[in-house]
Amino acid sequence: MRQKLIETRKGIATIYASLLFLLLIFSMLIGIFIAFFDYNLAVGDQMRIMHERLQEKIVLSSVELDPTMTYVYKITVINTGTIEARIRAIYLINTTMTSLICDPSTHIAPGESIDITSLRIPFEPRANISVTTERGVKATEYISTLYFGPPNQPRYDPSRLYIGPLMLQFDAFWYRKTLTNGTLDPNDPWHSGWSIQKGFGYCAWNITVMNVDNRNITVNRFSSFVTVPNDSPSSQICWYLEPTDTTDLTQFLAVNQTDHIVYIWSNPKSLSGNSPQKLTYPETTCMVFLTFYGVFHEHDGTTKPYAQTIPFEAAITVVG
Amino acid sequence: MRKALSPIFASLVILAIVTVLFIPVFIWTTGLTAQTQSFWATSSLIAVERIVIEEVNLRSGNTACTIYVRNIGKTAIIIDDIFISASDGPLHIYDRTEFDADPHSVAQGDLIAVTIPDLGFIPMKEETYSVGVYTTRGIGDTYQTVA
Repeated sequence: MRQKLIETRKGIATIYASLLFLLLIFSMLIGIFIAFFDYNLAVGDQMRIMHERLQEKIVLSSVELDPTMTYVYKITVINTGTIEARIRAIYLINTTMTSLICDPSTHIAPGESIDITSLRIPFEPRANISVTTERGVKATEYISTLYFGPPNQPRYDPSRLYIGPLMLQFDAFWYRKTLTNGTLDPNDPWHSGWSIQKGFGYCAWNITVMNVDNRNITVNRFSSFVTVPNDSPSSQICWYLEPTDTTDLTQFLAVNQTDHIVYIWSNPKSLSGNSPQKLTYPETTCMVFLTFYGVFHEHDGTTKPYAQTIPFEAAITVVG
Repeated sequence: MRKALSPIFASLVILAIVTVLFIPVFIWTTGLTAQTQSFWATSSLIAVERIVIEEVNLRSGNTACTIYVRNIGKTAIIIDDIFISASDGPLHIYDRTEFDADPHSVAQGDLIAVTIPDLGFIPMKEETYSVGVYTTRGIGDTYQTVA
């Protein structure tokens, strides 16, 4: 009987061993899995924090001074984000140092503003105030801007354009017929320059510029007006300057003075004579480049070379 | 008939051999598990560690520098290294013995003011400096400031 019992229990130890081995493997795997699960949770948490940070935005709205105009005693902060923000630091940044003023630890609901009072920040118009939140989002602004309001923006005048010493007057641009010897046709008035008839023939261009530098400028006969068709033909046509000084073949442009520059010639003007340039394009549109060569008249009496290219603001249309 | 070994003794011998052979396997597996768990635990800490440099007080002619660092992560941080470099100058590296962090370690949302009492160079006026602050786990942030 006993022998039979022993025989029937054969292999039990193997099962126990296998179970123990499986237990060991599972406990190992559970440990690793828990660690990995924790990591996933941590990554999720961090993504949530970053997502909240992206939703947070604050703006410094205004400051108020104490009656003696010596200190900023109140700052208004607006929460323009979509999540509650907590202001944790106010900094003063001036030319000599950046200093932490205080930690107000104030909450602002989304879309709301809050006044942080009882401050004692020295009123320095050129200094910056910086406010940061618990999530590290920052708003910085000049004290002068917060107190006096934003500076007036210079008004852009679309009729004037300059990059360099010569300012082009956008709406003062004309063309006119010339005779075969290059003189302006007395029977043809100046026409507005943006559109010209196909096969117009000999013509002169007239642009208006102002010398906005602080030095006088003399431009020479190599200064030119070049038309470059956008599509076809591929040939460009160049009109050269009609000098106002017929001795030196130059044109003087005084400081802050508006002058007309006329382009007539097919080659740089010479004393031996030139032929006028002719518009030969079919219907097309052209880019225009103005190229100036000359000298600056320095305040000490010397001259300094000057050259400038102005890409004209728009195209000339040659119409049928 | 004589038996070579008694069954009990034979079982004990087998048990001993298996146990001895299993010990290195056990040590290896537990070590592997511990290493893997440690790796994920460290990765978890790194994943939730974030800092932001809020402001830097670095001014021309002043050889001291204060860096305001906020902990925006979920774990406590310790500042370990600071790097300061000019746009075209050498890189200055400061370890924990060369700066004072107040407080030494901070929890989420709190601020550390790190002061370097002696930069070892004189910041040039109008020069842009890049300041990098890194924690013991290698998480950092950079900030550009004009002296």
